[in-house]
Amino acid sequence: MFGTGLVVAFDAAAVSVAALSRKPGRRRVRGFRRVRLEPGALVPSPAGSNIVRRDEVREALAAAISEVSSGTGGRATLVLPDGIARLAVIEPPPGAEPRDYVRFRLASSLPWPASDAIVDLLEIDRRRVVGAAVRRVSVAQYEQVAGSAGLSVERVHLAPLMALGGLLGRGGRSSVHIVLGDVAGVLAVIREGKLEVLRNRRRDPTEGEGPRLLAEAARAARQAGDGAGAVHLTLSGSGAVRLREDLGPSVAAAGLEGPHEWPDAIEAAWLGGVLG
Amino acid sequence: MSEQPDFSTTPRPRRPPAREVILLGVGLLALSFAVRAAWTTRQEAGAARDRLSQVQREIGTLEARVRAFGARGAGGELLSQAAAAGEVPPERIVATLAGALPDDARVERLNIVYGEEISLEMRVVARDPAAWDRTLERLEETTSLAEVSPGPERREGEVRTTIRAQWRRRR
Repeated sequence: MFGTGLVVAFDAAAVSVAALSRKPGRRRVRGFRRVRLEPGALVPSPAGSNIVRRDEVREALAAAISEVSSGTGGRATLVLPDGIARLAVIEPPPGAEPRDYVRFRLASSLPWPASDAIVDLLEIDRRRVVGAAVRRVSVAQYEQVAGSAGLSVERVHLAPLMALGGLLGRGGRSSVHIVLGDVAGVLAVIREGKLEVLRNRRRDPTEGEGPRLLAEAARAARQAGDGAGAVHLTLSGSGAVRLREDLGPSVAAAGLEGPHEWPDAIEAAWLGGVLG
Repeated sequence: MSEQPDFSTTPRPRRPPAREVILLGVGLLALSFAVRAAWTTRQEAGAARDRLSQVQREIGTLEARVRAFGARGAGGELLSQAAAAGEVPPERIVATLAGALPDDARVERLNIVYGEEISLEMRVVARDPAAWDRTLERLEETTSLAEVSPGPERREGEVRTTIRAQWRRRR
């Protein structure tokens, strides 16, 4: 999926660039640089303009690239932020072409014409997929700003799906993962490596975000619980350190264990999908 | 980790996962073996058909030869009979016998069997034993006849008997 080039991730608060190398059996991050953006320069949105102040975003990107890469330009994989796509767990009927069926199912819920959507899917088991739709003009904005920074875009991924890809297939106990972007986050209940619940919400950064997330995690854990002891809560991504500190003892009171951190996603949640 | 979806506005062709490449390779290998087996079987079937055609041709040839031999056998017998009858017609045999018999003997019935040999069987009546003796002498002296063998005699004044002989063909 990823070669040895650059992975460029955009979000509302920063532009991140990771330079990857490959060791036998595992990818390694040779360099990682995160350059902050002023508020309002980049606004992840499913329908509106995402790159609001293009020059500012391009300069931040160029600065990040110069820190991790000796040359200018090169091949890159873009990671688009959480909050621009419509996500849904879908079970295509037997015989249906999965991508067509995902497009059919998501079309009615899109805030833009379905013909403007780029639809793809992430297989999560033999029956189900996570379908995702993004607006073509939104993707084009990110591709253009990457091109203006001298990058040749090879592939474009979504941050929440990358994080989810890193979580699936891992065994162990049931766990609730909250993976946060700057403006949106996903909540996934994973049991024995299989996805039981997936929710994708825009964040409400006002006071009390932590307890609200905890309450939702507890409800999801009960919904998917197997009754085999407390469910792990793992909180990662944007602002996760602060939220973990805020929640602290209340996690146990909610019937969960933690909160833990995802080691692969300390720098950025999407890196969990790259390194996993 | 699952294959990540690509949302590029100008997506590049997906590189198939290694598992699919391996499965494709195994499938192609199996297909090549199947094609080779089918080809070999087809060649063997063609060779078998050729051998069958050859055997059928040989059978046809042999049947034709058998029919030819059969025709030659049946026809040959008829031809030999016809040839013998043409060479020695019955009236000639009758004339020869009439010339050989003395006046006091007569032939009541004559069978002529044509074949490789011409066999005669005649029933002769002689007026008395002396006439019978002369009849036998005359027939034995006839150069056209061979192996003249008289049958049982019945003497009741006249002598009646059946005489068999072979017509001596000149070749």
